[in-house]
Amino acid sequence: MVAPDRDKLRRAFRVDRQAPPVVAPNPRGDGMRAFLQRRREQFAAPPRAVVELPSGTEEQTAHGALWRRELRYPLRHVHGTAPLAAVGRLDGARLAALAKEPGFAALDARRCLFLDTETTGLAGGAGTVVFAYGLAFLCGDELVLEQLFLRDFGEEPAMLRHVAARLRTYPVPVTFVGKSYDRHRIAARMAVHKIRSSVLTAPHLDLYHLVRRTHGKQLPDTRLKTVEAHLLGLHRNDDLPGSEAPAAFLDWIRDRTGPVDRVLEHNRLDVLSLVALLGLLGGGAQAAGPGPAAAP
Amino acid sequence: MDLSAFVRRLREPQDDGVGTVDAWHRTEPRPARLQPFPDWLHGDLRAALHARGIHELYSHQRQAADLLHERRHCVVATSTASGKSLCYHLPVLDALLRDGLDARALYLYPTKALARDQMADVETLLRACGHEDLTVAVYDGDTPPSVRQALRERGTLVLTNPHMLHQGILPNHTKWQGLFTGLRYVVVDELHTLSGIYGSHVANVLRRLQRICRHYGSDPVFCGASATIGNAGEHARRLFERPVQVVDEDGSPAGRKHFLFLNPKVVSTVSGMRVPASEAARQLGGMLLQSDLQTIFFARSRNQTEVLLKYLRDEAKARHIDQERVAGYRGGYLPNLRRSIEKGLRSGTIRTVVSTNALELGVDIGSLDVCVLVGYPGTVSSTFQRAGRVGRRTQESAVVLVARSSAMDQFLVQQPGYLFDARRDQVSIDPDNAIILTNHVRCAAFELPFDADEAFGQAPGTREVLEFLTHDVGVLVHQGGRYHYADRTYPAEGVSLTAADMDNVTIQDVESKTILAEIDRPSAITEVYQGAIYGHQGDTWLVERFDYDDRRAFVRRIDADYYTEADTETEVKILQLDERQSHGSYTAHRGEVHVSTLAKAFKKIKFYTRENVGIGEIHLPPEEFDTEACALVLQPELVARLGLKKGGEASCLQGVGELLQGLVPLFVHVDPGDVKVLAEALQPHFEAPTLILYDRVPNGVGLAERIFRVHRDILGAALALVQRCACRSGCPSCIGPSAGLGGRSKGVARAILQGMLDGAAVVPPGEQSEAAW
Repeated sequence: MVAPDRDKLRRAFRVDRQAPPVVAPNPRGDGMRAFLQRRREQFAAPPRAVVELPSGTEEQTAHGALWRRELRYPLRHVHGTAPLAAVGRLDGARLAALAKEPGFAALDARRCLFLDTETTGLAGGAGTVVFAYGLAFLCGDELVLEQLFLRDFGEEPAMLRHVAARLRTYPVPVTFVGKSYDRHRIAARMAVHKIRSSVLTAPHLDLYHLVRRTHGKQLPDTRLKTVEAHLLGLHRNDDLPGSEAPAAFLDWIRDRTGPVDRVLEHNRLDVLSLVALLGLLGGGAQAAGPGPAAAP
Repeated sequence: MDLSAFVRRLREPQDDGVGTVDAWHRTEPRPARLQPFPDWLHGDLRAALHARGIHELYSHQRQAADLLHERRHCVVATSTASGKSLCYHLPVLDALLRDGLDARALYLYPTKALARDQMADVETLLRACGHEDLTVAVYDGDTPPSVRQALRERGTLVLTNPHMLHQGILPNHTKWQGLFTGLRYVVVDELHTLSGIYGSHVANVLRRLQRICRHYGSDPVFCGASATIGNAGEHARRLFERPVQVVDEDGSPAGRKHFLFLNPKVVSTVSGMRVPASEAARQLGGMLLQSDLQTIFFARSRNQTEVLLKYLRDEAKARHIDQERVAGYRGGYLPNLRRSIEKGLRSGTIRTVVSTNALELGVDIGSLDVCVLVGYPGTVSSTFQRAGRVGRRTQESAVVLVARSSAMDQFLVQQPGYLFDARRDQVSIDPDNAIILTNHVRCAAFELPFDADEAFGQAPGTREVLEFLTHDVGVLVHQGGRYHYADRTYPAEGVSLTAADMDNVTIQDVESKTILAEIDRPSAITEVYQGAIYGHQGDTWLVERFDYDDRRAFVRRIDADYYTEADTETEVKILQLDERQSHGSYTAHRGEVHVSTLAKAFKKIKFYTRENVGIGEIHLPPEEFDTEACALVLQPELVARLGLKKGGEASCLQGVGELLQGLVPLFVHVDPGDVKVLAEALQPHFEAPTLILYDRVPNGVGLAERIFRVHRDILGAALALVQRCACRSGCPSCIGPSAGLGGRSKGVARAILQGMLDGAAVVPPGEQSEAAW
């Protein structure tokens, strides 16, 4: 195959049905090609507006540029109906028992890295990319929430190195379903870029399992959205469903049109929920929080 | 009756005999050539071999082991049962014993069964070395999820198959970092099976494997093991894309082997029809059942296997022989059943087995005495692989080829030398086939981003493929000097290495609710339609219902005195024409076609008498695919001269088509079923009598292109065969039993071939250069 027969490949890969506009007109373009092009333009959706990222900073690292957004919340901040402050008064014994992990008896919330990722799909494997990270940790009397976003695939090494460094400073990842999902996606991308990280070996606190043990029987299901509504009194408005995040990113990375601003907003709420939920589930007696809130 | 008595009896002309042995060939015993263990071999391994009674190596084992130990890629192409696996076990285990987890190995076998066989073997050897800490494990679809993770981390020797490597391991290479970082050897066994489209896929899977090894910094040595094919070295070089040493001087011993070419009796001198090969095989089977000779019958299809199995069981019953001594073996049987049959063969409790090509590969069944080939298997290497099932080591054995009435079989009976000529089948692959390559570049990009100037193995035009995937398919993004996978899909899932692993239909017993067997979907429409008789282990099952959408067929055990055969109708539509050659009396075209096969009706055929005892309708959707084809379109002048517009004359074209189909494998080196020929008296696109030879693999693998180049040689061979054939008016050995025109059929068929070949070749200069490929 010196030069692949493009027309034949196009048929084999059925690209005519869904192809993006042809970039350069094919010199061999015949009537059919031109016809299809006209049809495509005729039926194409109107061009969509360019989506701007929320305000953030571009940092230059030794491994390339990194886009980062930092938000700070005082611990008195209330997420839904749940105060973040509860996370500062963890009952280690209770947590260890709930998590079935004796090591958590001495857990210090200041060593936790609250973590939630957005990926290009649920398929798994080396090629599923983590395109956004929401990370949060306690700093003084504030919660620092930072979001990393992949503006260009070339920025992934810098992003992964930043995550690996955070994991060194805050060695206990706290997630929701991260033990079976997020950490494997992160580990895969680290391996693709040959970056060492402790993400698979770190003691991992997955709140999903805690919720199932404490409230599994009371709740209709244990999806984060349900848990937020019933336990945290949080009702999201205009939330972009997590299942639409991959498409948003894949559009944005090509022509800047996917609603990644809404993905980041969704991610921000997810991370805050992690903090509030840990406070609620692992908090001391006085911080047991509100009982199951009324359903929306 | 011992073996020599059996051979004598077959060769003696007998009036009541099965047929006549038209040709006989004997290979003389060959002594072993032995060499001492190499000095580098680990002491524990040496001791373990001694304990097994192995004190020396065959010369080819020593040669290959030395090469691999010196880190040189090689391919071992010696006879069946010549101890090929020891060639690579020695350097691999030696490295494992010395370096443990830093010297890992990956073994690829074409089937799960072979991988399990080999695992047991390697484990025994390692245990005998006193090293039980090294994990040897099969990783395939049957590996329980609970042990997968441990295996990924600690598997020192991983045995798997190309399909699992493609869909499970490579896309998840990040979970296999230990294996890829320490990978020292890659062994690909049964290399000759990696032919055609399947082999072209596997070549690309190996490109992906090498790419991932580079990422983790390993540079494994490749070893191939193959049956004796004509181009083992070239084939291995194309697959591994490395310089490869060929080890093909067989040092193993062999006993005397008789090859007998049995031509069944002619039933009708007018039609040339002979006793069917399966009937002749049944009679042979009866004779063999009463002897002590352990026998394997190779049938050519699933259906034939089951019918012959039933016949032989009936024979056993009639002779008061335990029917359990006769077994069937084929793909579709569930693994446990197959394991128990293999064991029965090894221990000798099963004396007769009827198999499809499933037993052609290196599954361990011990060594048998007599091999009966019910019809020519289609390729030389297949014939010798099957023949290798008998007479291991030094014992005397016999191979009986029972000829069918077909052109190919009769040709061999007339010229058995063809089989023994030095020229063996050439295995060919086309790793750069545009569609296959593009699919694997996509999978590779999922695994690791591509550098903009990176070449995918030795594939030309990697950059163009990446651009195509970026701009046309829209799954890659070109950023920061690299192509990144930017799509939600898991591409390996959408790429099937063989049609067979695509989609299986399970066959379920309605009474016990258990799964009886499996069948691939394309075959299902002709084998498990409602009303079909499904043969299984010699028993008959009626298909009560076939849930096509759900891929399940429901069967009930009945005692049928008939079996069923589906009639199919195939339609070929021309999609596009890419190339043409004018030859005066006809024009040859190469292009793409759409093929649809519809099963419309079936016949009930009574066992033994082959009477037609009923018919039924089949209501199933057609099997459809696009592929490549070569079309030979007869020109008006020839059509007018031979009067081919008339029905009778036109029907002779059919005979020519069948003749060509039988001869194509001799010229293109494929399996007989890989190319189909459709003869149409009035082809709608060309509006002329046309022969269409098409590639049976979806999307084509380039067979049509090769046929396009050599089709005149095929026509020449066909004409020679018709001229040589002694029949008066056409027979199954040439153009088939005379149909439409009675006595004149053969003459018309000959005139068609003669007319096509005589027409002055008019090849414009431009086309000439294209033809030199």
